[in-house]
This record gives sequence, C-alpha cells and structure tokens, in this order.
Amino acid sequence: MSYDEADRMSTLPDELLLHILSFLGTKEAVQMSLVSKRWMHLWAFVPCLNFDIEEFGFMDEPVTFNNLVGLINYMRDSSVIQAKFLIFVEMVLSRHKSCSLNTFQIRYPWMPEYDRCSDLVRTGVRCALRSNARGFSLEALIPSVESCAPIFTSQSIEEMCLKISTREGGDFNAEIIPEVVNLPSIRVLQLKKSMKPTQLDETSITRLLSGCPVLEELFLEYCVGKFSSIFRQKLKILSLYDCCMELPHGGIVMWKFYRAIIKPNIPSTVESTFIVDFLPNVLLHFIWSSLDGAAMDSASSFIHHFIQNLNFGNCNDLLCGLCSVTMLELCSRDLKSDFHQDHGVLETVLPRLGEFHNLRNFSLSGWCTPCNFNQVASFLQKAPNLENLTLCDCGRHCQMADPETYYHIIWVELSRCSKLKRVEIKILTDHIEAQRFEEAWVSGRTELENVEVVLSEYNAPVM
Amino acid sequence: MARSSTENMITLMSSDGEEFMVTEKVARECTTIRNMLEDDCVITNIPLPNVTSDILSMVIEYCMEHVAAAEKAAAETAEKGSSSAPAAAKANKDLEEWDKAFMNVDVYTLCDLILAANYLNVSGLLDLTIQTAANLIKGKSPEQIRKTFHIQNDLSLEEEEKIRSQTPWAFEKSE
Repeated sequence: MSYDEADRMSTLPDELLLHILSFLGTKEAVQMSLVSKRWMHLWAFVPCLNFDIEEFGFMDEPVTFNNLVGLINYMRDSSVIQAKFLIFVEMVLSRHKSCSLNTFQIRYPWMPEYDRCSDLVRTGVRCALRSNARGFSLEALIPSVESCAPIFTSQSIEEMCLKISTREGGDFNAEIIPEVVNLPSIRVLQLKKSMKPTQLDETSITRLLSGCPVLEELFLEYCVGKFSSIFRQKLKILSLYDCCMELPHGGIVMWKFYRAIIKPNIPSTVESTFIVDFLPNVLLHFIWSSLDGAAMDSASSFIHHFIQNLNFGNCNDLLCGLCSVTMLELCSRDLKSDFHQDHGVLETVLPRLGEFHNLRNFSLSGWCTPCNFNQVASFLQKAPNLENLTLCDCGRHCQMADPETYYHIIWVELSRCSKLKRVEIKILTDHIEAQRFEEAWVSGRTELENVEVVLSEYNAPVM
Repeated sequence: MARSSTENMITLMSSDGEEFMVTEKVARECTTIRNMLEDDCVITNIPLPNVTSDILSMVIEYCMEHVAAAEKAAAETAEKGSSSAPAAAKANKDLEEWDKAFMNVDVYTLCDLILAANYLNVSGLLDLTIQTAANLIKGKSPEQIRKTFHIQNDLSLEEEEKIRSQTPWAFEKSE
C-alpha cells in the first residue's frame, strides 16, 4: 500500500476520533458506525449530542402552498419526520454511554404534535442533568416552559442558549424564567429570538440573575417588558438585540443593538443603536443614567453609535451628555414629512453643545446644509479631532437662490478642520434640484489637502 | 518576521533529528512547550520525539502566522487607542483565509497534524484540523467516507445488518 493510500485516520486514538465526531450532528456521528469496526461503537461515547430535525429532512423555511393537497402532504411529511426524529433521539439517549457531556443540543423549531414535544424536552433535560452537561442549547416550540424548567437547576451548565416559543401566552411567550433558578456554574446565557417576543419584567430578571451568581455574559434578543434593571447588573458583556423596553417613568425605548463590554483595568466600551420616538425628559435622564451605570467610568473610550428618530426639542440634554463619544450619527425628523416640521430646533441645539473632544466620525442627515451651515460650522470647531464627516443633504425645503455661495463657505469651514481625512456629501435623489446642488458642490469646492471627498446620492429612508 | 536580538530563541528537535530555531513567543503557542519553559526557564533545546520534521515545520508555520497576526492587532490597538471594528474584522477574515489555505493538505498529513496539535497542545490548530476532518465527513455516505480516508470495510454483512436494525432512521438519506 502506498503512503498516501494508508488509513492514517483509524490509527488516531479514540479521544481524537470522538473529538471529530463531536463536530458532527448526532445523526452523522451514528452513521459513522457503518464505516468500519473501528468506528462501530464510537458514537455512543461522543461527548457532544447535537440533535437537529433538519438532519431528518425537515424544512425550516416557510413553505407556501398552492393548494390544499400541498398542505396536506406537508403536514403528513412533517408528521413522519417528527416520528422518525423522536425514535432516533430515544434510541441514541438509551444507548449513549458517555457519563459526562460537553454539550447537549436539541433543535426542532416546529412540530405538529405538542405533547410529544414536551416528552422530548423532558427527556432531553433529564439527559443533560444526568450527564452533567456543561453546555445546553434548546430550540423548540413547546406547550409551556414547565417541561424545560428543571434545566434551570443544573449544577453543571456553564453555557446555555434557549430559543423557545410557548403555545401558552397568546401573542407573547409565557413566562420563560421558572420560579426556581439555581445555576451556580453558568457563565453565558442567551435568550434568542423565537417566533413570539419573550416577556421579561423586573422580578423575572431579578430572579434569574440572583440564581446565576457567576454569570458573565447575557444576550437577550426579541424581549419586551420592564427590565431596565438589567443595566445595574454586574456583567462582563451585556447584549440586547431588538429589545423593546418599558422604562420605570413611562416611555419605551427600542434597542436595535446594545452591547457593553466591561473589562477590569481597561476602559469599557459600549456600542448601541436605539430608536426613541418622542422623548420626554425623564426618559432622557433615564437612558443617560443607565448608560452611565453600565460603562461611563471611563469617558474617553465610550463608543456610541447613535441614530435617533426623535423630536429634537428634547435632545439637548442627551446630546450634551454624549460629549465623550467617538461616533455620532444624527438624523433630523424632517425627512419623514414634506414640510419642515422641526425647523429651527437642531439649529438651536447644535451651537449650544460643549466640546466633543473624542469625536472622530460625525454624520448628519435630514438637514439642510445650505440653509443651516453656520450651526454645523460652529459644531465642527468643537470637534477638533474629527476625521470623517458625512452630510446627507436634505435640501428639500431649501429655497436657496444661490447655493454656490453657500457651498463655497462650507469648503472654507471644512479647510479649518485639521484632522479631517474624509468628507462625504450625500444628496437626496428625489430632490427637485439635485443636479444643481451637485454642481454647486463641485464648483464651490476648494482643494483640501489630504482629504478624500466623496459625492454620492441617496434615497430618503423609509421611516 | 522581525526578531529582536533580546528575544530568546528555542531550538525544537523533530523525531528525525532536524532542528528548528524559533522565538520563545512562537514556541509558547504550544501549551506543552510553554509548560516545559515554565517548569525550567533555562531550557533552550527541546526534543519532540513524536513529531516528524515535515509536520513540525507546518506547526511552526501555523504558530508564526498566528503570533504575527496577534502582534499586528495589538500594535494597531495601541496606536489608535481602540481597535476599529472593520479593520479587526478584515484581519480576522484574512487569518481565516490563511487557515483555509493552510488546510489544503492530503488526509494523511491532516491526521498527522491532528496528532501533533494534540501532542503539542496548540488549541487553535487542533480545532482547525478537527473541524477540517469533520467537514470531510459531512454529507457523505459511509462508502464515500471510506474512500476519502482510505478506510477498509471490515464489517461483515451480519454486523452491518445489526447496526442498521439497532439504529432506526439513522441511515436514511435525508433530502
């Protein structure tokens, strides 16, 4: 036998072959038993179980049906798939011999028979508890959370990911955090987006976190409710995606994205994008103080990605509080409407702001630069370290007879920003005089040394 | 790779007697060697009787690439105060591409690399090689797997029948 046709794989020790098997789905690991005697019994010792109904031909994507026959066939096929899956899982769990598991994963996003789902979840949870699994991941549609509640008392679990939808609870998932939470080893917990939003409140969050003494990382997705106390927890990483939060004093904030990383000895970072529609002052102070609690110990490295869709009349305090950010994106509301609704508000706010010493990236949209450039100019003077400037010119309401003159002033102002590396001017495509404005930009242009200038068009965002 | 004169050099000796001079930093990527150095800090010559020269040179190549990437990222962070996300993402992607190209080896060498990564305890390389082996298995029939890894089928028909009957639904081809 020549060198490159020798079976090197089968000479590897069991430990390494099991390591390879643990990177496969459990069905594939079991299939390896048909390869040779060396592999025949190995799957029963694999330290990771990963059951995925997709391995049995389940279609996760939404299916559209042209007729009733299609729907009936789909239901029948799904039933058959579910039955096979359940038999397979049962068989594996009854014959699996490894007494400790690294990870236990089970994934079946949809099943026609709820009661059997509950049984499966119970069996899976029991197996994870018995085998002292260190990782647990469950994606399922279940009648109620009761069937998976025991997992919240595991002594061994270090990482857990739940993506569950309950039949109970109407438009929302029923309470996902059970009455008893005791997870002494858990470091990472993820509640991922499932079919319905998950409701959380202050008591469920308190219950959860007091039962997880060494939790370091919490990831919440598609959660709604009053759970703003989450910001006061001592976590190393907190992430919120698509979460809608009711605030203690009224008002709602939608966190598209929020991620705070707190490390000892080095400045913490927070990145967030949130949307607030109508912003009363109490809410402002609340958002600000919650950010403060999370990561404002070291102002210098606070990264704040801020897109707002708000009434600028109330944003003065918020903007002042953001003076240490490195990135700021402001969008005035007037893109939404056909008339200049908030005319004058941002102009009064911008000049009143203090110095933005750390600001490197600044973007302003929904704003008529020719009409209101003085305010931008005075703001630019307060941002001595600005490197990237993006101006999305709205100009829809602009009655400017002579834009060339104004653009010329802008170029003069820009030449004073010593650290500037890149300027991008975006002009609204449906702007009646887009052509003329573009020409004005170009003709008024003064050569700026070491500055890249980009001129582009953009469509009005749908709000 | 830039080598400062103050940096300690370590000699690694393969099973077939070939010597490789590497910086201490690169050698420390191997947890096994790191532990040896921590136990005995004056050691400069390490024999590795389980690793052949061709495999050892590949392990060193991997460690050097990853040390260089980590140093580059650290230097950028120090220069700018904070690392910019797009630059870090690009660097990660470049390294992933490098890893992918590095894994373009025959299955025999792959198995040798798995053994060496396990013995030297280079966790990144172990994960990479194991994942590569798993990817070679994924989606293949037992016959195709045997062919890929040159495995002899030593199962009798009775054994095959027994396996099939004991593990229902495991061998049905999913569409």
